[in-house]
Amino acid sequence: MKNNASLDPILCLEDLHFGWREKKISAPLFDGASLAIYPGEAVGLWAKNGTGKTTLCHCILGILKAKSSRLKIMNQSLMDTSKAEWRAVLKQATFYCPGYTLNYDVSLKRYVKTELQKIIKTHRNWFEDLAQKLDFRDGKSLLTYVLCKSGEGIRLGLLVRALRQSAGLIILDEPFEDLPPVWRSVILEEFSRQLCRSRIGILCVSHHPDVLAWCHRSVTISDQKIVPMTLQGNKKERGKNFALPERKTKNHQILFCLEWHPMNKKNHPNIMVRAGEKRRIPLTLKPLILDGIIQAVLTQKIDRSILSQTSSLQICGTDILEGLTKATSEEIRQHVVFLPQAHHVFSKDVSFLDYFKMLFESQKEKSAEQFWKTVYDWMHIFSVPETLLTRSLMSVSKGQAQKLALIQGLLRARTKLYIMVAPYSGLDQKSCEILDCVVQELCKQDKGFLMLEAE
Amino acid sequence: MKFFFPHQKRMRSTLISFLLINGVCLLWMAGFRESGCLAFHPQPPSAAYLLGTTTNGFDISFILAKSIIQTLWFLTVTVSLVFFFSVTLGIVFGYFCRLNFWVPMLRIIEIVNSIPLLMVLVILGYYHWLFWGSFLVLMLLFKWPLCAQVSQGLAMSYRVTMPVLLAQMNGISDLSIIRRYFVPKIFKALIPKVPTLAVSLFNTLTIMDFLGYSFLGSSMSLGSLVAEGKDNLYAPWILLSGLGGLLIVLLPFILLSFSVVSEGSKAGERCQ
Repeated sequence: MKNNASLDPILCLEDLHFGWREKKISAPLFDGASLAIYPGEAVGLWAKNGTGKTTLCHCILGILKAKSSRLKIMNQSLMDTSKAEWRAVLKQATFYCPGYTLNYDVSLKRYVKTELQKIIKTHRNWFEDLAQKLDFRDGKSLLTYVLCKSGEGIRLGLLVRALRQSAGLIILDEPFEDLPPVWRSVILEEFSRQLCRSRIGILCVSHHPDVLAWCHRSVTISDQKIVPMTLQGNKKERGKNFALPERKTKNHQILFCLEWHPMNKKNHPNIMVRAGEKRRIPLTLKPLILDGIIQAVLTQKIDRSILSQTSSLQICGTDILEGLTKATSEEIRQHVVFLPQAHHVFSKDVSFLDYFKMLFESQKEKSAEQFWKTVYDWMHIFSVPETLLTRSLMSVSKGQAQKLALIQGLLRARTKLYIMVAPYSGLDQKSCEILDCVVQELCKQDKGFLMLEAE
Repeated sequence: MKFFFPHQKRMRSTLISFLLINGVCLLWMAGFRESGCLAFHPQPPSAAYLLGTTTNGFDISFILAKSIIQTLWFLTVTVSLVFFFSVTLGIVFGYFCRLNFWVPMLRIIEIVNSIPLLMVLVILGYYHWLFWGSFLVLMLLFKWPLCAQVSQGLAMSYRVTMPVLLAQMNGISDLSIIRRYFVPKIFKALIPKVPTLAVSLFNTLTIMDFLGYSFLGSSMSLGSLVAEGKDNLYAPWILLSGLGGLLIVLLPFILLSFSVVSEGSKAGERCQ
């Protein structure tokens, strides 16, 4: 039988009121929301894009100040403790693994490095075991991966650190977005063990059904309150609201062709994308595909260190390895759209509206009326509110920003090939379905898609 | 407008103080009659002459009102021109890095910084070649490195970021990228430099006045008032009025330095 201490919730949030103020109009996001997480419990949080999942995490951690709330973490109440004491409680009894909009800067890298070195000192065997389970040679190579791969590496490092949290609340904000599924299952297994061993509770924000299934219970945000997720709520909504006429004459032009050097042939199959095809490749090829090609097209110089593994790389009939001229690079620019994640597309200081204005200035085919109609049509297809256009990257949710990033890429009419990097990251299930539908319809129009995905 | 003044709300106090100073000085000057400006001796402050008179018998309040407006406008125009010129130069040389092969900007900055500006100004003043136009050109020539170096560095680091590279890939013109990406960011970063630039220019201007090479009109200026006060310490109101005038001219820039001391609000950010 559990004693009284173990029955006390790790997190007890009651009557949370929070809202954003836009143009002096208050838009409430939470109105009396409550949530309790008990020791040994993993709670999944699922909701549509822009409903406030990350905001809820930030309210709990004090990053955003709620209008009013009754918050208790490990029996320490926010109301009864001083600011300094509360800060100490947050530092000791919480661990936050943020989403991808976080700036992976040097200080964060240094923090991860220090924390992992501490773990290696105290739990060396466990760390070595974990590294082997994650398909690394040893703990050292795992540490090297964490510190060298800026995005995925630091996310993995933070997850490893979260696994060693001895007590308190762990908040994971879409933690497995760009990590391979094998790693996800290994880490979830470790979390399950940790939940039994230590006095921790997990709040896991995710859109992924497997992650939600792993959680003991799932909640969602509805009518500005946190409610248990029912099957009704989780039921897939059909996202088919977009259709294009099919082309009568089929074009089988090769849009993208990558052949590996004979030395690398065993590891990767060659990649070929024809018109009207969608090809998925692992996210690990991102530096080669994205950085190598962008560098080559922009500077007309081949970076052999990146492209050394390839023996042939053709885009829209142009062999990149043979060298590019101004004309060929211009042709590639016209026919290929590179679509990385939203935080790579948009600058933090520029509003979406300014970005779209810039796109409009650069294209001469459409009139202003046509252009903005197309933008609003796409926004309607992806269910993005029009008011979002006036905001900038840091003031919208990850999912909404990703949708806008997709929209700006899909605006160009002359595109033949779309190279997308983790296009589903941050999107809710409905939006994922819509994107699938859009891709399917565009494939009918002889467009090619090369998608770099974790899975 | 937003691009050039990202701290619009915070800069309101600067604008108000600028207009207020101008308005008060103009009103003060309007109340004078030509005959009322002269008195025969250096007189201490009284009801007739609020700030007293100079040794030549000129009313100090009239001199202050006139010279404050002149200096303030001249300073504002010079600071704006130097700031825009240097930031533009920095952005262009930072974005189009290849230009540095043909015109090595950093070397030029070193050369410009090593030329003694005050000596050049005194020589020009000695030959009576110093007037407001030549002073403006000289300030442009000598003071641009203050902001250009920083803006070039910022532009060079920013041009290799992913959003800029992608914008280039998507065929967005260089002008659009500079206008939408670089100008707001770099202006925001360099606006706090404006008070420093203003003080630097104001010092040069006042020193030239103090040394007797005034060029902002036939009447006395702030620097010459201070010089006269220094020579006639038995009439301290002259020196104190001169120093007060200097402070009033710098007031909008002091307010600006306070208003931009913290980061400006980000565009479109949601507020709680």
